Amino acid sequence: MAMIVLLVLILLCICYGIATGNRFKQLHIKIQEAQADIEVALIKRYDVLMQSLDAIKGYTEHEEKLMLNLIKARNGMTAAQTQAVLDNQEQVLRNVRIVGEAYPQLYSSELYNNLQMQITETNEHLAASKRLYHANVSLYNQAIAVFPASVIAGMTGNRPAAFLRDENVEAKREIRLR
Amino acid sequence: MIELWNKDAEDSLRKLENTFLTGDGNTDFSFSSAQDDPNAEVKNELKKGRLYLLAFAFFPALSGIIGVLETGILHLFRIPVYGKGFMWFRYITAFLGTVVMIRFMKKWRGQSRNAKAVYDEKIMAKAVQEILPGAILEPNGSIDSMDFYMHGVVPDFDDSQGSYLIRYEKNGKSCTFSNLTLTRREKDHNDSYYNKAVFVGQAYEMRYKSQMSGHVRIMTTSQWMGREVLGGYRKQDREQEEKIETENAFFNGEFDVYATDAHSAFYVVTPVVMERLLSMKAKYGSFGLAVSGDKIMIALGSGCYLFEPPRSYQEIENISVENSKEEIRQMLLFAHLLEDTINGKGYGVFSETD
Repeated sequence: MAMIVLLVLILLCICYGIATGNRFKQLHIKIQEAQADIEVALIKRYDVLMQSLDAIKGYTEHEEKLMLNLIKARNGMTAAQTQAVLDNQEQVLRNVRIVGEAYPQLYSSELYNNLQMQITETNEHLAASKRLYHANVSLYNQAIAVFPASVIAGMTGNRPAAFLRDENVEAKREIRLR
Repeated sequence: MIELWNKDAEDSLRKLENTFLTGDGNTDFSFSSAQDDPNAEVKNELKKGRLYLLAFAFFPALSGIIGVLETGILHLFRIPVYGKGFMWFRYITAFLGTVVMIRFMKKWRGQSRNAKAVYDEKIMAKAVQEILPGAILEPNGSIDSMDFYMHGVVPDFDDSQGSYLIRYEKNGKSCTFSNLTLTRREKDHNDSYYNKAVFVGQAYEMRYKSQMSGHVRIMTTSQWMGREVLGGYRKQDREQEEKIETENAFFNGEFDVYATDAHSAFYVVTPVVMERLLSMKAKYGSFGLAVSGDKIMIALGSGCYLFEPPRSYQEIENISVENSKEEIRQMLLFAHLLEDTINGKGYGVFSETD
């Protein structure tokens, strides 16, 4: 009798372990889907930024200094690569705005204005993708942190996933009036 | 003494009359003067309707009085109350009473329709044109309720009615509003069918900033003993929709979000939109919202109709184009605040008036 109870308990633990492991895999896949979503948004923004750079050529001689190298976004990037592309595009966007402010005649360019609207739309899509990614990362991190799932997570090598970071958080904390 | 009694009796009768006619014993009933009041025609039509209605309500009392007089007359002429001679008298009285009542009802209904037509033409149409130039008002029109049901913002229904359909343009895009009542045939505990009102309120259709490929719908939650009760609303379509949990736990408790894909949901339901929806729910109560294609559909279950002709004497006295314009402004405020926030135009300006 005791043997049967023991066997049932072991079986239950194994089933729980399998179910929990599967749940971790599902959440991990959700994170990967969200990451792919971000890549799509980054690729779209990359295309729009390239068009913006073409539009503002001729308005400044120093565009090569301001523009930096725009890293090409692509599918299948790692988290670190995604972060690098994000940071790079943010920097290029700031430079595009600086050029826009320095050359007001750009605002009368229909192409430039359309591109600005497209950039705004792609930013919104990117923001949605990032929020979705963070929501999925949060769910996954919570799932592997709680006991007894954390034991299974340790055994199966599941580690907390990283959130995307904003490069200029410190700068944004301080608002300077010109 | 007699004079005092007469005066008191007269005063009491006047107050009784005023209570029935105006709802307030100290407010005398009077028709408005066209010389002093530009809205006199509208007010007087509605007041006539009130007189008819009150006279009609008095009909049972009048019948009782006639019955007493009848019995008195019969006793006077020594005719037995239940005798054969009496029955023909009773039949004639009942026939005449029915004819009078039917005629009275027809006059009252005709007068009510006429009063509403005058009110719609002189007050509502003017107010709508001044607030929304170029708008089209159909007092008896209704928004497409089936479209709203298919997008999951109103519950299942068997019959729909509406009023005050207004079509107007905002920033070059068409918008629509109407009152809406949806009813469903249900069985009571005696297994008899009856018409249950499942939605009474307002329906709005506005335009989204772009053409969305997905579909997002947001419903205020109904909780009963910890379980969500959707009450006839389209349940989650498991093949087409997924339930979305946002990063705001409080919002998730107050609203249910369903979408064809999570990205569309997060694109539409931004943190600013969540805050706006929460403040709207606190102020206006339950509502449903859907974004699909280039449409934003909102169904607000206010429980009442807007812009209907007033019924009470005091409300009739307060009729004016300005008051109706203010009512229209309030109606638009709800919808446009929500529309602007969803379209990314209203950022975080929440005041006590929100």
